[in-house]
Amino acid sequence: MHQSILVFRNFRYLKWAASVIAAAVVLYVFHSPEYGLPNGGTWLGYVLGTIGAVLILWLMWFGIRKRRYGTGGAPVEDWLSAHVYLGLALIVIATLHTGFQFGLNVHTLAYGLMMIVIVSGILGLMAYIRVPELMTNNRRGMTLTQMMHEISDLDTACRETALSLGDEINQIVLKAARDTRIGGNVLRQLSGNDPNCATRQANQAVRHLADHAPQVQAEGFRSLLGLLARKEELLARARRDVRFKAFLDIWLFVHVPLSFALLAALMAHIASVFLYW
Amino acid sequence: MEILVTYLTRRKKGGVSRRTEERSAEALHFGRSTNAEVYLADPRIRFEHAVIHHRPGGLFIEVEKLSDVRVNGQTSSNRSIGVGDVLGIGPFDVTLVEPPEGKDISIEVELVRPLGDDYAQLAARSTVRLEDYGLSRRLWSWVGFLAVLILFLALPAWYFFQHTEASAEKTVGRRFDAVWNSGPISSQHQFISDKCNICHEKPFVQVRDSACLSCHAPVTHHFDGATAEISNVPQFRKLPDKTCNDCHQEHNGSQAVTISKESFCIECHKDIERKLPQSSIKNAGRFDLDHPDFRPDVVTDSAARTFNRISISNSAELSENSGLKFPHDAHLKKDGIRGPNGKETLECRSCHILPRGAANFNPIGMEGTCERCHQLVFDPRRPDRTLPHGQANNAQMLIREFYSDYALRGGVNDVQAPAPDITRQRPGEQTPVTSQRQTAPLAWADQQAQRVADMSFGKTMCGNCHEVSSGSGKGPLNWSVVPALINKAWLPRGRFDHSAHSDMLECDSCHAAETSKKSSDVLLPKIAVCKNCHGGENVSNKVPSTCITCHDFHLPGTSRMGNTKAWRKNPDGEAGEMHNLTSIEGKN
Repeated sequence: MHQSILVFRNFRYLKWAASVIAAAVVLYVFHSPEYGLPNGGTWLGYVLGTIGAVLILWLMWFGIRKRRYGTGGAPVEDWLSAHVYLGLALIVIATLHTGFQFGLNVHTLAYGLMMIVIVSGILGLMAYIRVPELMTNNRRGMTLTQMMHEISDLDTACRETALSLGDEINQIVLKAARDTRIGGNVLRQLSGNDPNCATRQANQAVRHLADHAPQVQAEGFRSLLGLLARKEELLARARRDVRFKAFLDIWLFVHVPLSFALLAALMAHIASVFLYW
Repeated sequence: MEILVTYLTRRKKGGVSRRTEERSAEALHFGRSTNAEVYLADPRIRFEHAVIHHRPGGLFIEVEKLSDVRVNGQTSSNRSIGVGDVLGIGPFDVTLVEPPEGKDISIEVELVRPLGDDYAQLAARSTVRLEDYGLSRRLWSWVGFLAVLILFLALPAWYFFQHTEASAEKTVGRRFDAVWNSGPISSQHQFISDKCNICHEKPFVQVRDSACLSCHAPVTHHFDGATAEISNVPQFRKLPDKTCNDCHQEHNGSQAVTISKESFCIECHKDIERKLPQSSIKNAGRFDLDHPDFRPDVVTDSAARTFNRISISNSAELSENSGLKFPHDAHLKKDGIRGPNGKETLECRSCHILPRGAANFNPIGMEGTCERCHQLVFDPRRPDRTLPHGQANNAQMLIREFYSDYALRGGVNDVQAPAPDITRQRPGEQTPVTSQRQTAPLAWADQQAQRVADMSFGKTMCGNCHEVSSGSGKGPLNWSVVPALINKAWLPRGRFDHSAHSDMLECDSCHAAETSKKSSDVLLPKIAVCKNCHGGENVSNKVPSTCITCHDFHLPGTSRMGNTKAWRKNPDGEAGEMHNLTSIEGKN
């Protein structure tokens, strides 16, 4: 499915975007402003600026369009494919619109926000191409909820197994159940790891105690260690799943809010250049 | 000790199920140990948690070290207990009830604090979605949108409209609308860089020429568009429509405000001969490819002060008729020439003085330049008496008066001079000078004067440098001198900065003065000499040079930039009022 976004309709929108880029570059190369430096105020500057502004509004409309299933018109796949390619074309359009003039002002702010939005979109696209396959392989047919259910079951089993073992073991097992968590803050979710994982610590502690356990408890320790190892493995997979999900989501937290900031910057940009024409 | 243990389990639908066990033991042990009389299967219960002993004084609870036991809610260690007490043993409540017949102790055990749902707890502890960690696309979208809108649009706009009416003179500190500034102001306009309204007079209106002309009022145009010869050329009608900022752009920092694209000039000048056939302006293109050779404005008649532009390649006609005879080669002899204090070797700068930083040399002339060597002493016996320069008649009178005076006063050391007429006079009596007494001395004086004048004017002095003739002058001795005219600028429409070039070049790099034998030589280099170093505007191996490197757009003598609107009243090409016309003649 992810491949089909890029090759969609035999690269129809790639061809569109490439045409727009090629036209813009050719015009830019052969158009030197009548007397001055290349900038957004020449006729080509106004043309590229208008195309860029319309593109930005159209690209942002995708956020609304994708929520309206079955409302007719082009399918969302078309929209997404075009969104990707025309969004990439915007890099060239807007850069040529600037005439490579940058400064500490609202104009370059709008350009910078736009570039961050596009780059975050590229990261998102890369995530959407790569991550789902990794996610499927990692899940092995389970959902995250199922994994968490199984982890809980293992906790119960651990406790039951530990009942026949020493007090210290029971404390460890109880703590392992109570303190183990999946995910957490943004960085923790993205890292896919928990350096202070209570289950891992419990596993190590139990293994250490097992070495000194009396023979009669050997069976109990063995099954407890087995359960803990299984739980640790499941936890690692669950955390990777959270990590992959975060990869699929995190770019949107940049992409969407900054595109609205860009919208405001674009309004300020257009208003200001004509106020101070 | 006979023991009755009742395990209570509360059903979800209400009601309590009871399961009883009877035990017989020395003491009543609680714990996870299978040996315990009351086996409590919970990880929170220690292996051996607590023991109840039956002693003569009654029941006594013994709490294992570190075990969690509360008696009636109070954390407790070893103590006596009795019927009615509730023992909190870990998550269990153990209530001592009245023992039935035959039993020493009866308890009810109930798990009141179960571990709960492991999954629900794990889910509650875990944060597996970014949204659950305070990230909200909607919230941050609003924050980003509003923050940028307020900081970069609302505040600057508020400031802008607050200050539009305010006087531009009002100096403001930090402007909120500075974030709108598309680029730094050039250094020339830096002093008004915080007074945007001076140029941006009205919102949503492009900067108008009137704003520029409010300071730059004297700037003139390129030609007078009202003349018929201009207004009849369709291409030229566009020029008055150009605004100042078509060619002069601000907010590019250190970049020049003036646009120097040669294409702007070439557009008209590439075939100006066809567009303006009545003009003598030549077609011109890129400096390195299509620029015509120089056409110096040479003196055709120094007396009539007439000039004509003749191409430097037209060697047959190219002649500077300055009225002077000046061989550069004779003055620049390497082995020196005779000077007032003996032999000396002259250099160009001995006569051509370039003040520091000046574009052009000081004017050259007899006074201050030639006269150091060429003193106008006409009688070697009186080197203190010199002729006035530039006044031929006056000079001839001076010569005649000089010798007349000599003749009449005597004292002339000349064997041919007549003896003075000495007549005795009585004291207090003046003898009138009779014509008879004058004749002989004046005849001598006139003869002397004519001889000296012929020599001075004809050979040794005036005629040495000037075109002279005898028999035609108005002076008493009939000599006349053709007025001299030294050219100040061979290229009246081109700018050339000698100072800027003297750092790198010797004079003879461009001017072949050392071999010039006649003053009629025009010692201007051909344009090819310039092209040794200067190329077109896009060259990389030479000095990039555009039209305005040497030429001005705003030409003197044309109407002011602000007057061009009047031209546009005649869109049909009819000439407007013929006011203040500058005809397009051969000066460009």
